[in-house]
Amino acid sequence: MNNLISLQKRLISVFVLITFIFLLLLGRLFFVQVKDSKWLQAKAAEQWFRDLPLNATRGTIEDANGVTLATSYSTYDIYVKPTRIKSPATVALSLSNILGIDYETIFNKACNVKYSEVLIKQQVDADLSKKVISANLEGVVLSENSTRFYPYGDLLTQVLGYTTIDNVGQSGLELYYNNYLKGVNGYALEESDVHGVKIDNTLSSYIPSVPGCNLNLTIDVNIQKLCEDALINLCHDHEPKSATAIVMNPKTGEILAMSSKPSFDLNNVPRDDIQKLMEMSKNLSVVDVYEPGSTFKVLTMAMALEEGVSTESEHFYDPGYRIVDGEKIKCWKLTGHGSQTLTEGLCNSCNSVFVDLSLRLGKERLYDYYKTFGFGNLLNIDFTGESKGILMDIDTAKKVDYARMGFGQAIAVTPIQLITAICSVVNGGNLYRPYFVKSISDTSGNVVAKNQPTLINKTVSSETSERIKTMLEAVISQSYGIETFIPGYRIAGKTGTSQKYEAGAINNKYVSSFVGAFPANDPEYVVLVIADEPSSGHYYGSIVATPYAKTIFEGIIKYKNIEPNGETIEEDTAKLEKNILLPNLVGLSITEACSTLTKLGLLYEIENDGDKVVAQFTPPNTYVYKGAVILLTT
Amino acid sequence: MKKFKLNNLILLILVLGLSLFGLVAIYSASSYSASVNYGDAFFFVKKQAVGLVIGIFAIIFFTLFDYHKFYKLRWWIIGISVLLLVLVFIPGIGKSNYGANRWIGFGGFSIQSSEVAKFGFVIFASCYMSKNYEKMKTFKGMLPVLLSGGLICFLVLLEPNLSVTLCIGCVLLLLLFIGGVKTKYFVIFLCLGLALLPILIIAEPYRLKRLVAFINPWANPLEEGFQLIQSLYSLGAGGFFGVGLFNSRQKYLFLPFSESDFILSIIGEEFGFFGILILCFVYIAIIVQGIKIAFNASDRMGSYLAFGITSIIGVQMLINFAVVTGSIPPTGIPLPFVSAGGSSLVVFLSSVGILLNISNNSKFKFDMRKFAINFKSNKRVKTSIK
Repeated sequence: MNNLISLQKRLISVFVLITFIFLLLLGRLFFVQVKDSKWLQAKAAEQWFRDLPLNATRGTIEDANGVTLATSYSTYDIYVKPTRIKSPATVALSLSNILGIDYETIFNKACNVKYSEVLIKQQVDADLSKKVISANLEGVVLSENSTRFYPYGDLLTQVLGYTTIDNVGQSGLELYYNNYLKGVNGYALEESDVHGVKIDNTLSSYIPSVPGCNLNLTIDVNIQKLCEDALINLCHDHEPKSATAIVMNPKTGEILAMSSKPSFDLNNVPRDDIQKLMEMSKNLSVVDVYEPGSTFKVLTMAMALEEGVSTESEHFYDPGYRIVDGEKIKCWKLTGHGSQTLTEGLCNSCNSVFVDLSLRLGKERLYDYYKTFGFGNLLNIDFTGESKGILMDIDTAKKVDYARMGFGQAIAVTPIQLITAICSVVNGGNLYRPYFVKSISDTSGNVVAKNQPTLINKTVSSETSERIKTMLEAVISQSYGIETFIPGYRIAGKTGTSQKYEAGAINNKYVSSFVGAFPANDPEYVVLVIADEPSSGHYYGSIVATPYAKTIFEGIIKYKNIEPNGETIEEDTAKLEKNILLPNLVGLSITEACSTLTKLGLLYEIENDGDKVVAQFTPPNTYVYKGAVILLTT
Repeated sequence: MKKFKLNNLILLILVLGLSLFGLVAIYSASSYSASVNYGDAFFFVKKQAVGLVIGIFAIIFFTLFDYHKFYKLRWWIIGISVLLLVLVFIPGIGKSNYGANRWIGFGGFSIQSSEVAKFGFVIFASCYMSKNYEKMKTFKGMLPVLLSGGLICFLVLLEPNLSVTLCIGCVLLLLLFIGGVKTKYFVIFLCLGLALLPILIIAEPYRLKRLVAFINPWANPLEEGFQLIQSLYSLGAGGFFGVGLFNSRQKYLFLPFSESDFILSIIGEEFGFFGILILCFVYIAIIVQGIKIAFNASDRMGSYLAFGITSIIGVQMLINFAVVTGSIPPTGIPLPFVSAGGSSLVVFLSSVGILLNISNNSKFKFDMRKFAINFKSNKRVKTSIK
């Protein structure tokens, strides 16, 4: 009987034990469900909602006439959700037909139930995507992406710049104006299951994205194309390390065109070779410096006229060099230009004249002017990475240094600095800040920001400006500039050829350039063409840069439909009439060759110090115009 | 034909009510996952409903089936139990799932062998102990119970299925305790069982991972800790009063096994702590009824059998509660009567049929007051014992 009592006792104690454990578990449950509730709920909510970013469409970039230069379009990534596909074969067949992908590949992906989402194809265009959508396949999902597109591809490459795959501006205007272009991303918060599938009949909050603003550039795509073509030809003919061209409106500072070569197609950014990419995406006009050489003489001349240190009637004698502080500064024409007026000095690009002018102006005045012209300072152009140029410290600059600066050596400037300064001396003396973007507008067309012509400095008087224009027109209509001469039109300009200093020594590398303004009396376009280290054997600006600037002028005339001046056209054409047959000069002695050319009414340049002519440019038996310059190599 | 009578209507109502509630809970927990995975929101509900219908027939059958007949069948019962456990390893019959052989299939229907085997063991042990209750004090006397239980445990462990092994092991210990085993032996067995547990955990790397995950689930929330964290999210999100029926968020595939082993989490999310509290009372009430039946049984066999069945229900429920609340390392064991699982439901309802049959055979009514008095004075309460 004790057994039975014991059984009942034990039954009760088991019941008590179970109840006790039960109470412990309830205590634990209370902790989880009541005490930690808030915290756990908050953690759980993180996984219940899916935050879908709604990417803002990046703003477009348009030229001055509203032509689209950069835009964004939608592409789609196509995925399959294997667990939601009932018939992988049907899905695979449809997708392979539409997308042109191997059936097997898609089928295997569609059967791979291990994954909730498998990528089929990226960056599918809108047309194909529409077909996929209309096929209405269960378990196939599309995600929208924005892809940047540059309709012109390899045009304005360094200025426009490019973006990352995620549409963040990486260089050029895409970088500088990224905050305007990018817009504001929106998002959709929706309730989803563990795989991110939206749960039916649930509310989702939706904050739409705000598209980026559109840039309206000062660039005119037609003029830009002229520059691109001119540089392509230049590169083809003379194979320089790099070439640059800028067209600017001198009355406002608007940049009408800016091109650098080598360049690349913006739709196919060569991201594999970072170093090469960095090299090619550098906007040389703004970030790179060079010794401007003879084009700089225009500015020295303007300073001299403004300060009255010389008059146009004064005669200078050039024996082929000047000695400053015991150092011999050679003129490029070693035999010397002899006696010449101020204007002739500019036409002949005689270094000695400009050494004299610089010395007369003196260091302090020169540096004041440089500052006024913007050298050694930022122009605050709307572009990232602008360079200040290199201007020797005023205290360390010796006499021989600033004597050289007078003809554009021992000073380094950016191409945009030079053209901006030149613009100021041909527009009446106003130094305008150069800029790329005219206005920024939102998608409704409201202008949110604007760039207007900004006067930085007054450089020279309008009288000086008028005189400079006359002089520069003379340069063109005479010997060395004649390559740019266009009958019936008035062009002012100056060539430049500077020898490069590397590691403190002169070598045989040159920078050839030309700067010109059109129309000469009241310029609306200023063009700068620079070829860095041409390797064709020619390096004179008049051969390497001038002809290409001329094609730009001709292009502008044609594009803007500018009528020629009927009165001068006949006279001008006569000037360019090629009616002199050039004889063979190779083999002759220098003196014989020179006298032959003088008799024919031709000019000449001599290279090297030899006695006999070994080569000539232009080649023999071709017709040339009166006053053409023939290059003789001895 | 016997007349269908019922001494314990409360138990039947509680169990059927719980099963019907389970059907609703399963629908809520599984409608989304079922429509995603099977294209039918009622996939699990339908299977469970079939189980419930079969289970009701099973209740009727076992209520009318005199449990004394089990005595003659005891060797068959333990034999079939062992056979079922062996069959899971035979290819073609056994079904592998999540790397374990726990199921055997007949055509479209499959059952979990261990579900049947644990009750088979309880029936066998009850039969033996009632006949040999006096021998139970000796080691030799208790050996058949120990060996049969040990064999079942061993086979289930081979599947492998640690949680069911644990459950059967607990029931074995409780049966030995009730069978009158000396406290000395009981303590030794308990210690042996506890010592065996770490060895078993270390033997299988995945168990060790789960243990680590249990200690700090947040260390690896996407791998080992995932299941437990999701369960805690469910319970936590439920708070005191819950988010309301059908409003669970965790059922959207966040919580794996939400319709089966972790259905309590979804119930906790939808009905809150308060809802689980009510559920607990229902389970306690079922256990109270089970213990009462064991108390009032007309003989030792009835008493042992009723107790054994009740302890399976109780132990399994406790383990499930402990897993879901993160009180012990995660292991898969269904919540009796509620979790989705047709075979489990049929077997549990059958066992309730047996309980009802024991209750019907009882000649006594339990008197708590009288019991309490006698309990103190160590006096017998019942007089007529077979």
